[in-house]
Amino acid sequence: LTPLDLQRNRYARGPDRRVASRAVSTERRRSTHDRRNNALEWLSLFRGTDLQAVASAIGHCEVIVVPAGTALLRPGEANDTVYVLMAGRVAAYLDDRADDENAIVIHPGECVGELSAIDGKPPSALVLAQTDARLLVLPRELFWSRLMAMPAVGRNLLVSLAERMRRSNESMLEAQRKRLELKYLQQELDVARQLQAGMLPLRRPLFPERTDVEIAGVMQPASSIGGDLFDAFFVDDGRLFFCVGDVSGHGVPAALFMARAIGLMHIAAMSTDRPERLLERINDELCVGNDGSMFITVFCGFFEVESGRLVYSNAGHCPPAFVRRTGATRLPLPKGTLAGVVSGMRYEARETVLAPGDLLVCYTDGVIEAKNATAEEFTDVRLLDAVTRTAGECVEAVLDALKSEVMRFSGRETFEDDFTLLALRRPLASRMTDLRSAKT
Amino acid sequence: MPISHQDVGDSLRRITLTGRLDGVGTAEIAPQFTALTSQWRARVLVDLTTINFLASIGIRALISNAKLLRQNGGRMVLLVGHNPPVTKVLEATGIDSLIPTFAEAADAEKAALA
Repeated sequence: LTPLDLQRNRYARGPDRRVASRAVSTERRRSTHDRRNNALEWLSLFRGTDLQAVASAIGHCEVIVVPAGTALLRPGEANDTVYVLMAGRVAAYLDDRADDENAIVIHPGECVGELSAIDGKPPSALVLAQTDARLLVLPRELFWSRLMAMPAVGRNLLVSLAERMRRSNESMLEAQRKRLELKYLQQELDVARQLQAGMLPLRRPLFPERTDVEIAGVMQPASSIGGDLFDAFFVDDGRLFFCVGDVSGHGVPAALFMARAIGLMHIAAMSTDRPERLLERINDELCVGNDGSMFITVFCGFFEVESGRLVYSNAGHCPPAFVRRTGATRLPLPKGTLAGVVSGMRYEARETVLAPGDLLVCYTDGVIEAKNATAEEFTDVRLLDAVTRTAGECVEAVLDALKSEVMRFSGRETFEDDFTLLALRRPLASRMTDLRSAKT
Repeated sequence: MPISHQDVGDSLRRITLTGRLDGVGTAEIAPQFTALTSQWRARVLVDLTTINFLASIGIRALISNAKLLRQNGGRMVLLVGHNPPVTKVLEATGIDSLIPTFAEAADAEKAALA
């Protein structure tokens, strides 16, 4: 403490004494004196003691006022003072972090520094004034030789140490309880993550019984649970519904919204064969009770495996890569607003035909926005390049190669954003024949 | 400061956002952005001309504030200037059909006050 930080005074020469030293009657003087002793009685250390004796012992001790934030004791720094808190709030922190979570509050009338005064070792806690505080400063020597010699002071000290120990035990138990809660919460998140993974068709191959379409997906959440989704299922024997979507944000809220969206899409896909109607329906449904302005971007389509006809629609999602023999391009998309924000939005459909061998690679923005060390993005240009190079491989290999390439590019194993890929290919006729003959 | 504002009389508030509207950038501006739109009952022009990255979390902030404004009887327009990355995101996500979006300041102001 530097002199600038505090106001000093002597206990016996406080403001009360100045009042008393004016020309006032002996009566008044006595009552002032009593009031000072009453103030002593109020300090727990001096409860039940011979107050006259205490007053004369501490008469020359300093009373200081320190501003909020002053450190009275620091762990490891020698201390030869006992502070008695007379006004204000002081807290002891058992570890280095001075946050209120782990603070032990010292109440007015209690003291700090007594442990190091007892054993002569440096204090173990950081003690900070939380507000401006007035403190009586008792040098260690005086504390031992004059005050501890009074039996009542010794007893009071033991009582206050016992209280302090109880409070510290309680705070440790509380911390332990919180750690346990956190552990349970993490376990529940793990369960949520498994449940979420269970909602996505991640098995490989996805449709082992089908030789007329190849399809596979990859999903890697940024946080333990994420907001990306994809789905693919046959609505009848010849028609496959598939979609890729991205919910705004991460974590539990995004995951819950994603679960709702995937359920709604499942139902909608069974009741319409028009992707634009499906998007209109899930947009309206997702708008209900969505005060948090969560939203989802979705690309979805119905693929007729026999003819290769693909009818698709889009709600604010990025265009899939369309890989043909002639090279890779962005699939032209109809304009459509992301879903879940404004009800009554209209969506449009487009259609194209996949020739045998044509490949469609859908993705979320986590893929093309993955950054390298110099904050450069992967971009859909690199994505188109990458899928062109591996287009001859099976769909699983195309996706795995693309994922490895993004990881190599970003130089890391985990991504800042959720990362989802879905690949769909209409097999070459020769391959279909191969597979058919292999089956028979 | 990545967010600043300027009131043109009682009828138009111009809010300028700068930097990246990714998770970190959006968290930085979100409280003040919401305060500026929720205490305003008229038109708001959000200037995105110097935004160099707009992520979905940033879009969410734009949408929720536009909604808030509409509930209070106001309206939001976006000024993007000649900013390809932001224009691309707004077009791809269809935000430009929810919140009127303009390249020129004069057009944006005219639309905001219309």
